[in-house]
Amino acid sequence: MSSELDRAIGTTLPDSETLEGIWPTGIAPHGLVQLAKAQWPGTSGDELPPVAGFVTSAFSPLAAAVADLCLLDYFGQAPANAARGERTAIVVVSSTGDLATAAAVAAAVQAGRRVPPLLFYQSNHNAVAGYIAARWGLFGPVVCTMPGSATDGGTPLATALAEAVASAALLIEDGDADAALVIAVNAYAGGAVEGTGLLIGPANWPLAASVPAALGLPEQAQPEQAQPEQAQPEQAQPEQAQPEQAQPEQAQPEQAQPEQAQPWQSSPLPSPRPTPVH
Amino acid sequence: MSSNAARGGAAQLAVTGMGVSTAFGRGAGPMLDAISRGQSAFGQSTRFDTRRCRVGVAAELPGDPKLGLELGGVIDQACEQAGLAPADRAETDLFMALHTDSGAARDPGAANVIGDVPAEVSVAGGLRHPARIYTTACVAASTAIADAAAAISSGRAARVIIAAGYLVDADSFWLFDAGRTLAADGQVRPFSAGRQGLLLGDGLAAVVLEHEQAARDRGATPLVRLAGWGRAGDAYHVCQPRPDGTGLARAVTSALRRAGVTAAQVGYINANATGTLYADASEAAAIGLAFGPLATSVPVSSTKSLHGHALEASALVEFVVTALSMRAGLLPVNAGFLGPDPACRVDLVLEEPRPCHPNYALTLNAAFGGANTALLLEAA
Repeated sequence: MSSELDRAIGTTLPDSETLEGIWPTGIAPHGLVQLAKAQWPGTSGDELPPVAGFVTSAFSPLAAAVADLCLLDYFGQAPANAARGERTAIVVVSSTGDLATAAAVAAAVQAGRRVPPLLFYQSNHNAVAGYIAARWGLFGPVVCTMPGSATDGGTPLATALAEAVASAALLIEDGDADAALVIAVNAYAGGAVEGTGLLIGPANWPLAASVPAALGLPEQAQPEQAQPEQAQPEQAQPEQAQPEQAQPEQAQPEQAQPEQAQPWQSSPLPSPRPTPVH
Repeated sequence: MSSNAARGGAAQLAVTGMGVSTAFGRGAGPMLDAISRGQSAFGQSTRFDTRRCRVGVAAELPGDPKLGLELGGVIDQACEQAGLAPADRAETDLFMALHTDSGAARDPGAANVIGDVPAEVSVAGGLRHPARIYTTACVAASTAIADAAAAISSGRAARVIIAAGYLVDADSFWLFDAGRTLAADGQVRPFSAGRQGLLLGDGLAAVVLEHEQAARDRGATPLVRLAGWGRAGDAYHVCQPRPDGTGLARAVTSALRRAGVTAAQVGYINANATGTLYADASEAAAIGLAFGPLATSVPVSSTKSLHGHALEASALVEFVVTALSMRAGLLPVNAGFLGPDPACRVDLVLEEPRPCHPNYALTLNAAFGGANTALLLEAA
């Protein structure tokens, strides 16, 4: 990024695609550190794992794969440690956006064909962020951006990553999250894909005192007093465990195959439990 | 828990300029007129072929508006009201919130889904190239405001122009129709019994946000203040909101805490409510959580029932509508109401706009991916 804002926040333009170009010392802005990282493609021959409910485009499977690799490295398994997941944001940045989905919609419209309903859900970058958040129990803010400046000289992925780190660092400093899963993903028109995932956060990431406190709800808004039937986490669980009940009525893709139409396997709510964190 | 608990009383952020265009027309005048009349702007779409769609209704500007020109128009409105000279504009950071461009979607060699609009607007308007394009769906523009607020309050930027625009196009219309989210009865009915879905609407807005003292020093007049902002995620689903509303409630709580304001001080909520079954109920639950016993006495309306859903631009349009309403002392109606829904126990502004001069008002937004934002405006 070339704007004063992004220079001010402490990121510098990378010389290359390497992370070292952004954080020469491995120390992120404002005392944040890189807790985990992942890159795609990794070794040769990798194939992106499909993600149920996402079709046609590699964009969302790429973001999901990068997120999984990065978070597995830190948390070991899904979901994340509950207290830390409560305070972890997701920042998805792409220089390309999901060109394949946009092109598929345009092709259907131009041909006068019905738009495949599943494309509706995946048509914005938030969708895969929601998938990742549900799978890993990340309750922080969800932010999706594209780098605004196209002329800063870095490679597209490096530009996206620098943008993502700057965005995440500002968000963390602002206080609504302690850490962020930063995902920079590009899916080019020619079909090539590349992505980098970083988990950034405090070097000594303290566990929140308790999950209810981390939820940050006010005293007067005790669930029992407000909307008992909706506010009880225990009662919300069954809805998640039965995906077909959670589908909005307008969300039934008529043509979709049943397994594709499932709501992307929202993982169970992370319960307040000790999880080894390394 | 970190710093957001301790930031009350931080630098005051002033809105010194606002621009808005919707199907009601271009500028604050048509918007205020629409607020006072309380009538919605929906009609049969004439912009593209809807014969294969379940629904053919949208809220559209007349003719064949161009996104770049319309966006430039609202930025000009905002900059002129803020008294920004060309040199001031040229040194102000620009954040944009945009929807996928249908031209880019048809260009096999497109570099990205946003296309040339950001460059077009910044060059034509003598502005910086946008520092960042927000694509966070229906919270894109409110996320841009929150980032701008964070950048200014921490001293990283003196002033930010936030601009957002969406014009109803065939691609998005057909997509929403395919998703069966459009209201088959041709009316948006937020929080109402019998609501059938959302309707899309053209929406463009721009806001000049700056440090209040810096604004006063250069002779600008604050129109409203941005007193607080909060963001939180649902960790629930690809496209559905968490039914218990806890994600949005945390965003509200964060915004109030940051401002040092209690729920009792909030005199109006411009709700996200799109007119869809689950999302409106979730939002009502969120208001219930964040406001407790006060939830049924704070006036609420979703102005999407008037101007439609402007997707990535919706939060900025609603921010401006909220600010205009506060300044006019007239809370906009929640149109299309048929009757109460027990799952939506909030005090809706119905039938006629309600005279009221709230000191504080919230504007809420929620999006796919469980992204929630709350912005707290303070009368200047």
